[in-house]
Amino acid sequence: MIKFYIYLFLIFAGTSVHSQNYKFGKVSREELKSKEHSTDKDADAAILFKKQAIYYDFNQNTGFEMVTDVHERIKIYNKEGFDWATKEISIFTGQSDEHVQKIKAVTYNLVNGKIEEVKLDKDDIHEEQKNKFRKITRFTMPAITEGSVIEIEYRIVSPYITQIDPTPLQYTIPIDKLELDVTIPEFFVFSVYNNMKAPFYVNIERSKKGFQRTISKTVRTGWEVVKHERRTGTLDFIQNVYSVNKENIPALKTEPHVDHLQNYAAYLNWELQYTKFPNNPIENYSQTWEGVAKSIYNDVGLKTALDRTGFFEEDVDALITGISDPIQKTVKIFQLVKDKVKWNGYAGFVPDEGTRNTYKDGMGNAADINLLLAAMLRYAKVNANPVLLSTPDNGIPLFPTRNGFNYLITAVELPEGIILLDATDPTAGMNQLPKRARNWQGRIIRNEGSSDWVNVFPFNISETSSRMNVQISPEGINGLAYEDFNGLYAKKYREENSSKTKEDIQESLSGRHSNVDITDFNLKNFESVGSDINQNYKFKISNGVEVIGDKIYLKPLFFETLNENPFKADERIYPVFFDFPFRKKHLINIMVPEGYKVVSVPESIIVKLGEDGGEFKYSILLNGGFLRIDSQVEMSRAIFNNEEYEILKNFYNKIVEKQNETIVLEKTSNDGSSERTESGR
Amino acid sequence: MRSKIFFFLLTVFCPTIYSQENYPVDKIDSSLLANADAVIRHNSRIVEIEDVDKVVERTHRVITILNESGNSYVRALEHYNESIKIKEQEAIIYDKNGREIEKYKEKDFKDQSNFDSYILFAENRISFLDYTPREYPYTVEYRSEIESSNSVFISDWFPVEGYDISVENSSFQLINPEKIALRYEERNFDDAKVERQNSEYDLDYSLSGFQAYEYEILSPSFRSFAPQVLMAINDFNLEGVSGHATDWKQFGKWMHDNLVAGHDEISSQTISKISSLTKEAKTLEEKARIIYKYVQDNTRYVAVMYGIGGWEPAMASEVDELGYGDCKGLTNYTKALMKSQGIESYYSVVYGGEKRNIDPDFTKMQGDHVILNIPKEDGTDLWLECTSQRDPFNYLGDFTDDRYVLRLKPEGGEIIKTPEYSEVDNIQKINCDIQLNGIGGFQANFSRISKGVHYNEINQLQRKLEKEQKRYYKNEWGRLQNLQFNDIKFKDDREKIEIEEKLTFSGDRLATKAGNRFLIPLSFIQQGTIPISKNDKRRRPFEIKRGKTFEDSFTFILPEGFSIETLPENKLFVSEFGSIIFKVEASGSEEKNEIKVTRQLIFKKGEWSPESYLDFQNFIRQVNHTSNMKAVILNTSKT
Repeated sequence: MIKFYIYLFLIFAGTSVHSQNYKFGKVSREELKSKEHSTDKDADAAILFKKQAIYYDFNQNTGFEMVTDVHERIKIYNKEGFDWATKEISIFTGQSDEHVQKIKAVTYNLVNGKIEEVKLDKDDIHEEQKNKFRKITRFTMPAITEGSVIEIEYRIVSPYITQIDPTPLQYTIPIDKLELDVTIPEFFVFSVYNNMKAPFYVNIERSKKGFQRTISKTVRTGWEVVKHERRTGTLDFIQNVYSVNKENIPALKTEPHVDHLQNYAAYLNWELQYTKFPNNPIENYSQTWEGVAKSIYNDVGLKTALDRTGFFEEDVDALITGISDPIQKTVKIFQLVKDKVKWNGYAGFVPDEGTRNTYKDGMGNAADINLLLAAMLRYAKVNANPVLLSTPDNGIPLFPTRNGFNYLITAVELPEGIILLDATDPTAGMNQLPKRARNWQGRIIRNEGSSDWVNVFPFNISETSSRMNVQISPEGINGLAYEDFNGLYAKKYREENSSKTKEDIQESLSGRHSNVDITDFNLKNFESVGSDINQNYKFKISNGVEVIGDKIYLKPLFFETLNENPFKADERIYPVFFDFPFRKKHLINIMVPEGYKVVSVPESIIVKLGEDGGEFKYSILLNGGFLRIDSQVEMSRAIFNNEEYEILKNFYNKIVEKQNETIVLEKTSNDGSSERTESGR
Repeated sequence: MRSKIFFFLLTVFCPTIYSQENYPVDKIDSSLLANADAVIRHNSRIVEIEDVDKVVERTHRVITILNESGNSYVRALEHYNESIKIKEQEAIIYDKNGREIEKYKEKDFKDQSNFDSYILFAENRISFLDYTPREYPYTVEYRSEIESSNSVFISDWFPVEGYDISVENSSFQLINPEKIALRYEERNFDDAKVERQNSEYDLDYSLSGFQAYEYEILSPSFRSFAPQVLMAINDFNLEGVSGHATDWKQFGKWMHDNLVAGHDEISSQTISKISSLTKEAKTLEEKARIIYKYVQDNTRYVAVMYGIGGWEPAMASEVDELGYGDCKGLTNYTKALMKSQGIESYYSVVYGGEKRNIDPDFTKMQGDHVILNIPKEDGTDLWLECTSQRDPFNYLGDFTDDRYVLRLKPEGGEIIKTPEYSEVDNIQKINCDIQLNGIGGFQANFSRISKGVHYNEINQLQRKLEKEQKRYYKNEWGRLQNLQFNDIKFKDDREKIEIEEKLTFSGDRLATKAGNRFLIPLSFIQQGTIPISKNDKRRRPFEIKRGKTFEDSFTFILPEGFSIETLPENKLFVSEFGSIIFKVEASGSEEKNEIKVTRQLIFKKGEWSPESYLDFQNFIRQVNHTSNMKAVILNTSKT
């Protein structure tokens, strides 16, 4: 019998440890005692429990409103985790305001074995009207020490019933248990998606639930004698419920050079597909990319903007008289828009100022400017169309949603191919989009809203090539360099030097290497955006060679040597993005100095980067009194996934290693003793 | 009387200022365009002290922005809060020919809250011109009027606002109809064309034709050489608290009595807790150490500032309850706990960050941070930074070291200096064995001890995740490729305030291949490099803010089959700026298969005249050259 009792007791003890009580206030001693997270020892804090409930409520005066209830229980393990004791709730204000309500928050500490509670005082909740559209409610919890557990509960009531913000499923600290319930009346049909780039997806359970509410209203009736009558009715409909219940969600780990970390977090995206109210037709919002594009085309004024030509006709006519070639027309009109209009820094596919005001005032957002460009080109009988796309900070459009786009450019389609244009960037030539517009695919909208995908990510190789003629003496190095930049290299050059004079450019070129002096600097084609840039200059390197004993050691690429591997981490979770595919060529002729001979040179090699990723070629030839060094690095594509990281890192290692090998020259005269004194110069 | 005459002059003079309207760029004297990103065409600031609690400030500012870097000088903005009200704000934008492009009325200015992200809440807001320039140059004409009740903050006149900005004309007037006694001090007028027409109670300055300063590396702080007039009135108001002061003693007393005194009550429970903690402690220092640890373990830094809360510490009892506070609240709380144990300590106002003094020679509201001073009879005062949970006891680091602070005592204010960390204190000492392999790589056993201001960086590093520590070293030592870390350990001695890093790591590339030779860079890890640009025409003095010492001892062990071919010579270079000593020798009992290198680099604190810059450049060249010295080893097994 005794055995039996013990057995029973054990079972109870075992289960009581594992079954947590997630009701507000039921924080356990175990939760307070724990010193580190059970699976993630590095975690500074953890979300022990988070419940988020989103549902619709019916307000008799204002109709539907959307309510979000949040309850969080957070454990703080150490001082680095103290930031999690501060909460920020950001809401929209504007035409109508969202509201934060019912904030309740408590800190729990274990003091001499007893659980002590300290409540958040209402006076310690601060509201900041950040700007016209954003209000932040902010507070920090009292009595926080290492080991504290905090609980926070609040509600957000929103009048914006057709929009559900992305619901987070992952943070930079682990989540032990997460519950999400989204309950939506049958009148609103949403689709919901996991973020495909996240390390995991969640299962969404779907169910149905009724909504019943008796409402009464005072109504005016009667024709001649006005009567007030109280009427009651019932609101009765079905709701769709989406539930997520997930445990042990790992922390989102940060890494450098990730385009946007939040793009890789797990979350759910909600997009309104259509509304169907009783006795009303279905109102479509979005379903397919075709539908999304069409609705944008019709609803937000793209069509109108493209058809509006009166205000610029004269200017465009004057500009293109006598020109019939569509490319020539495009060149002229693209230049006109860039000269006349400046970008106000805002993305967007919705015209803000309108094309007319944009042209008149000289300023607008991306949609204003590029729609103006498209309208002008169309007026000039060039086959131009707007292209919707998503900037890197907006993520990659994976599902048919309007939120998948936030930018607009213009495309000209010719039998020879497509030309992408973005007139927001004064340094961008034709087919030279700024970085913000080079994200995956864009959706081109042709006549009457039909649409198709086009590539906006660069696939063509851009090239820089430099030729140097170099003379060496133990005192230093003199040389002449010619450098050419094409494609996106030329654009990058213009971008980096946009507000500089030629003297400034020369100065920054000198400043890049502390031991290099640059003179006789010449720059060609800098102003003519779209064409290749050439520069040449004389240089003098003060300590570019090592003179040790009677030998001279030199790295033949001099200041063009790649000294460090840009990839230092051992592994990588996220893909690697280069700005664009590229080729870097260096051709160097070195005159062997009088009285010296070549002792050794690095071996020539060719290294491939995977199957199709790129190539590194390096060769040295001694020809009479000249050494000719040819180094070429080619990166054939711009995106490498994380499995290719090791190959990429090794490829760069090879480049660094080879470019750092030295050529050894030795004095031919036997009188080495007098040279010894030179050692250490 | 004189001020009336002046008014008359002004009204006559004004139309000529305004008739020069539209400010075309080609009217700027070409000498003012050199090195300039922006030119102040006209800037008149008129401050009228209507009363001790009512100061009206009118600004008429016209500035031409020449390029993108100049945009930060537009400064068409006003800060406001409960006690500063904006009465008027408008702006006009002109193109380079002086043609009006756009007009902004008061309502067109953007409004938003304005405080640093580490502050939880403050009342400060900003109303600013949000203009996207379409082409350069362009000109902004801005007018504003604000009214403030806090006359303790009459802002000084700094007509040259920073680097790369020239001044056509900038003027300042202080109008003081109530004849409130005034103090002011002119500084750095030597190279500036300043005209003044002051009277006993009013000030009137103007500066014209000032060419832009170009930034020079290692410059002393901008305010140490820019022309300026400091000013303060002897009767003033701060958030409804009035005061009178002519010197630091009085000002400190006012601050103490009105802002700090009476804020130090704490509950008897907390006192008894502290008493039992310090029961065993014998000396004052031991007790203070225990109390500091208690504060670090039980509070954190969170700033909330309403009204006078920007200057007055929260009650100690409140900090005790909430477990957080800002620098003022936490310092005052620590002071209260000290007091409960009979330890006398003082709330001390300071500028945190880059070295800046509370001006010993000019009394007015200053400082942006507070620390705690505990006097000791022998003069070795203790200093506590109360906002950090991680700093060792009595450690200020480079955040508040070596500068004048205002110490508040009940009997009045005192200007005293915080301790300096000299080149004897700021030491990093490396001891490292490097086993070379035959293909250019190595395996290293590394130890580094850091003291003084260097302590802090490593103290922070040791708390990071191992992954981030590796990233730190890989970036610091970028020229060593493909580093693999086998072990990273820290030994933190918080009493002595020194920290040791112990690492073992290996790398693929150290030596440079040259046929069957290798070049070995003998400064395995280069500490203390100063990047300086060539500058043969140094204009202004330069300074080294802190003395530092770097001591390295490297032993390179050659791979099998290699022998030393050439070693560089020893080197010693001593200058007024510091010194470098470099010794290299072949060692290793019989085979001489080791290279032993010792290197000591010292930088001295100091400020030097521009003429010394050539010598300084030479010193740095010597250091760099020494750091780049290489040995050649030869693979004898192959030949």
